[in-house]
Amino acid sequence: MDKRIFIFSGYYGSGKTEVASNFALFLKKNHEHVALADMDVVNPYFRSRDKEILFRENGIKLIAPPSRVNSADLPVITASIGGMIDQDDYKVVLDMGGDDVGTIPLGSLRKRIQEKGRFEVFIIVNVNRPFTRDTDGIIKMAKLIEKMSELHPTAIISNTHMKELTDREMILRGAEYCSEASLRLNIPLAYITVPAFLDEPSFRESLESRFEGDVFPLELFYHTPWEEKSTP
Amino acid sequence: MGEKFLMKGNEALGEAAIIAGCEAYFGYPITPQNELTAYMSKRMLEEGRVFVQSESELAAVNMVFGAAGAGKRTMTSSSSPGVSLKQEGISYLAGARLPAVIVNVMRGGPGLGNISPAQGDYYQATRGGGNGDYRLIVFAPNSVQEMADDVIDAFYLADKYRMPSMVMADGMLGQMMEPVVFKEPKGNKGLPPKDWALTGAKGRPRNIVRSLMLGGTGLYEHNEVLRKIYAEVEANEIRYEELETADADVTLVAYGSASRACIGAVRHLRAAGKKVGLIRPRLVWPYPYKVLEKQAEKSKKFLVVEMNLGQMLDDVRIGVAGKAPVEFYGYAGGWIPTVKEVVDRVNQMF
Amino acid sequence: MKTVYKKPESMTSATTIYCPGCHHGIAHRLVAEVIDELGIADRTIGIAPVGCAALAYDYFNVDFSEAAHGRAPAVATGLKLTQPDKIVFTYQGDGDLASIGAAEILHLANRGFNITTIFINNAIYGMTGGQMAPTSLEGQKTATTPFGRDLKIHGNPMKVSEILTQTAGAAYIARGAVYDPKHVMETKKMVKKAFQNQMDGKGFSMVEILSTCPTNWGLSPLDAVEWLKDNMEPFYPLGVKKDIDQDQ
Repeated sequence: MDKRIFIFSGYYGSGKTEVASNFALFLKKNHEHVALADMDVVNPYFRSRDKEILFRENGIKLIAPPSRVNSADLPVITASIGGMIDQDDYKVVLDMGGDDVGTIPLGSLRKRIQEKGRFEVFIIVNVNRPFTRDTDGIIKMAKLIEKMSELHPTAIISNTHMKELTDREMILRGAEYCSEASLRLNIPLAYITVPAFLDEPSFRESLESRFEGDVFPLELFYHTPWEEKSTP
Repeated sequence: MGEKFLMKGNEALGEAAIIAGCEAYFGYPITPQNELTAYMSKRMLEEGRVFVQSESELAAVNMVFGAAGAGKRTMTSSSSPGVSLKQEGISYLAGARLPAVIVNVMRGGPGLGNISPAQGDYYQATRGGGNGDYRLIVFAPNSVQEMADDVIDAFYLADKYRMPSMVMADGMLGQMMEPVVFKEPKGNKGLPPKDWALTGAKGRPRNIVRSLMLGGTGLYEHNEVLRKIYAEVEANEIRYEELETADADVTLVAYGSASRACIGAVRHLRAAGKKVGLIRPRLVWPYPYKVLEKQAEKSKKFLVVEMNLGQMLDDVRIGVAGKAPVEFYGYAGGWIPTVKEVVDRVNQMF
Repeated sequence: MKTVYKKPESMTSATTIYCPGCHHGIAHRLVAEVIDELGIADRTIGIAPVGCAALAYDYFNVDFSEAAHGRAPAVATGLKLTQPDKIVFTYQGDGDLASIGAAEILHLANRGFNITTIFINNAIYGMTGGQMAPTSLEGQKTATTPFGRDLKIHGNPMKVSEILTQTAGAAYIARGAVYDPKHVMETKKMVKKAFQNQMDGKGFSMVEILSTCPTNWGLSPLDAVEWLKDNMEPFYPLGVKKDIDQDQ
């Protein structure tokens, strides 16, 4: 994989932060320097900046607004993101905010990213979400994000889930819509995510034989406080 | 209908309003409820209904006053500081007997506070944050599914009793995602006709929408009408849920996000052989005082868990009426209880 | 016998509680005459302010809503957007419209919604006992400017109509007076135009009417008219301030 900058965009609640966090950990397996930048100025909760310890323990550099403003909704994009983009030895994951609006902050970095090249703009899709329930919805979203960010999406990640109620049939259905959208948008379907509790060899095989994308196993890090594993 | 969606609480509030026949929505930006306004800005226009981003929360609630006066189902939403600004309009809605739905996705206070989830507006919602003697029907959902169900019921009950109702959620409920299935609204079955609405005095005497009652005993009589309506609501609309209360030595009382950890705690403690139950008011006005009174006859102790410094605590004390000790566990300013915390706190009571 | 003068159909037979020499009664009548002449009484909805005209619904024989102080434009917005075929007007005083409701009127005008506003400017808070209004003039003595309005202490009087002409959504802004028959006739034309514009979907229209408040000014009705002519009119000149039909 020679790409360096990975941009995760998509509608509210498509699972950008969860997938981006997993992706940063995945990159870390083969690369010394990995950074994850929390660029979410839209959503005040469930942000990668809330998982500081996870990233620190795994040696991933987290770029996020200072903790003194972490319970404010100030749209803070730290200047160090730009610096990180310039460091060629770093793999950088950009976790954007939701919707087309959430990708607006990319505008301030767009030229630098384009000059550096070797970047990927992932569109994250969950077909259980209201505005991306079919291929048309996915295409509409991709075009809106492109219009707002002025960056052409380069690949789709199928992340269809219903939290703990996710089942295999649902994942297949999501992958089908994403596959169709990828053909119409003429960009690859890069990954199909599968949560750890549904991941098994035969299911992987059936997905990878049917679809272009690879299976990407997902560990779920973001929970409501009452779901946290801190039970006694 | 029947189809399952994965939605943020804020989005579910919006879609439910559309299903309930909300014809006009008026909003003003404030975190953590912005997804609701954004959702309505798309969906209301798609449906050919009225959406306005107003110049202020004051304007939004008074636009609601106008739309409600026209006899239309209408809604506004905000978060704590914004709901404070809406209190003027809410008092006028109550005084003029106009049905409308107000959504509060609560954040930390007082003042600007922060954007973390909180339950600090319980007094404001249940005691009337505006001037005068009035009540709101106040729903306290604890899941995305209940947020959707409650909005639909909030419109119905507002129309049934000709009074404003509120759906009181918090930032966590607004922001989190859960599966939701939208239920069929009851429609207008059993609702009184809106013959008081301002639709133009064609073939009938003029209608006047007002809360101003100058002269004589007008205001006294008006308030007696309100008293009678509120008594009816209290008689008909008590809603609560009980979990393992039949033989509970310790009874937890909680609503909204705080109740989620309590449910987990009850299950955990029961598995450990401890007799613990939960009473969860689904409406916090009218309040299930009698349910608590009855529970106080068998339960040795009560523990109220809230994301504030102790507000519903007062209502539990009123219900328990001194028959058992009532303890409190809660913090304000961005704290949500975990199952472990509640379990540890309950264990101190045995 | 030929009837030359009668109560407009759009007025009730209630006797107003306005003080002798107050111009609210004339302004009410002009609005009612226009509603009659345009034949819109059965689809007109008025919004009363907080101020001396709070009881306007006692005098108009059309559907009426109250509004919290200054919020009439917001209430009108809710009524009009949900019922675009109705004719919606607000009737507001200077404390209501120019002070506490400044944001609401500015945004209504700027949005350009099809709503009509009648703005009564008597340079004082009448209802609450004659306090300074945003429109009170330099040197004017009121309950809260006992030594006269001092611009350094109390700030400047506000010319709302002139300000609103700057909004993109305002179709028609005019200022009239009703202290003599000539001005009554001119102002009636303005009021009619402001309602006709709404029927024609032209956008926000407002008529400001300079009015007296003999009680709180501490003047006889006739002296009040002279005070209005000598003091208010020079600062608040009469006439059409904006008319998209003429300006184009």
